[in-house]
Amino acid sequence: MDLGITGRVAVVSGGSKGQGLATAQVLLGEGCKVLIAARTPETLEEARAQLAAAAPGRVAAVAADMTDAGEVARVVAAARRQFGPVDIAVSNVIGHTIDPDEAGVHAGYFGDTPTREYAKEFKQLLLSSWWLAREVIPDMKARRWGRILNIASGSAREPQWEIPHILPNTVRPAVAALHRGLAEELSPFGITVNNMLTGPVATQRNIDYYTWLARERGVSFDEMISTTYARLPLRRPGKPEDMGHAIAFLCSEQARAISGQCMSVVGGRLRHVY
Amino acid sequence: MTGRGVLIGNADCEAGVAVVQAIAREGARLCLHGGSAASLAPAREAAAAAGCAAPELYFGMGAREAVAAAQAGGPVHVAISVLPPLPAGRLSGLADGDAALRSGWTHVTASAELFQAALPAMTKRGEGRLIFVGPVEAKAMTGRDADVERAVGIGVLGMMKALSGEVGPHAVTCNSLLWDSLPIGEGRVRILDGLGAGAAYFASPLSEFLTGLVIAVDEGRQGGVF
Repeated sequence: MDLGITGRVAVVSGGSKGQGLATAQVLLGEGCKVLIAARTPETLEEARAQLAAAAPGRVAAVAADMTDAGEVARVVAAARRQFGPVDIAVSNVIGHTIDPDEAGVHAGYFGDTPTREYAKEFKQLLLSSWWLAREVIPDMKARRWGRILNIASGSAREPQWEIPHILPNTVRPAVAALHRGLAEELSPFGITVNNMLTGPVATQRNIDYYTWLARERGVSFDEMISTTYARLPLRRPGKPEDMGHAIAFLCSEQARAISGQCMSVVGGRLRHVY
Repeated sequence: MTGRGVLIGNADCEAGVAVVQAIAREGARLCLHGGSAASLAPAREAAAAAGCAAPELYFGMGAREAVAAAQAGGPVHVAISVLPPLPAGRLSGLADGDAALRSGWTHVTASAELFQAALPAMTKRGEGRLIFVGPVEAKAMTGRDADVERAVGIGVLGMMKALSGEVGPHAVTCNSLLWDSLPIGEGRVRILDGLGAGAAYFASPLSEFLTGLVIAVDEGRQGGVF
């Protein structure tokens, strides 16, 4: 399927690992020029080198904290300088930390999550995606073409109460609402705005999460994930490239009439009809 | 998509033609089901313009027979049911709302027949795609009075969601696309192009982990957050 985005300039935050890296790979495969941004310089450089080997001259990387408004502006300016105005912006900022070995998971249940964590999650998920959109919208409006995409979570639509997830359950819907409003506002300018709702995708982050959760519940990792996947109609976890392909489609020329949507890539887990 | 068998039901309506054109571009084996040779002519021409010179035409028969005939020529990997335009207006304003509803509901049955007929081979093969194309009114109140289409469309959406859970273990996916038919001119062209592209994407191997989805093709105009 020719997606018609050869030569388009893309920025992918959280682009050094997992779904962000897979998204960058798929966009490069479609002929885009891609700037990836992530916090850790070493991991970022590894990813840049890996991507550049397959797409020389079309990859750039900037180490940045995308939960800081100034840093987001710096990243977008770097993309503009290196490749030109940004056509495609993919916000892939993670929320709460997952550290199966030491700090644990800070997504919490309602009763045990300090209120300061809500503010932090709000900044990481909602403000960061808004800041990225804000930086790229002027160029997109001027060129009357743009794709803004936020990698979110199935919890935006169906809260997960069987796991400690109060923070994403609270903030993810707000992000979806933000993007729905932007979609309506920007449609006359040829700019689409969509959310990808992800879930059981086999990224290292998810593996870490289930490792921690299995230990918390006193079950083996295998038992933990087999129970999880058994609940999915498709009975298997997604691959990062499943997300990458879906994102590339929504960022395509052909998807110009698809905006304001929450596309869930969760193996059919969500049970609502709409 | 090259070589994959794609059967499109109601390929002779406007949305059907848009889907035909997009799928034809991908090099699939096209099987078109419609009312008559004459009504399928626009779909056949659209397919030819997109590179599929000889789509298979099935008419004068029901959905089950069309699937059987298409399967006689090779596997059907993708079955697409397109809802054609149904009597417009508010039920209360229709001369015979009861008849309009009953007549409309036959399209739910027709979708079910199409998918039921295509499913056994898909589940046996361990791979398949079922796609429904309906009106955006099935998800959102719009400026168009379309009570019958809304009721019928929602019925099929419910069936698709339930089906996604039932056939997911066989790696058969079920997704729906809802299009906004209000725009005219360039806006309508954009929406129909997007509708076709969405169908081609859901029909492709690239969407193997997506199931139970309802995506509106409406340039962000209708509906709520979800």
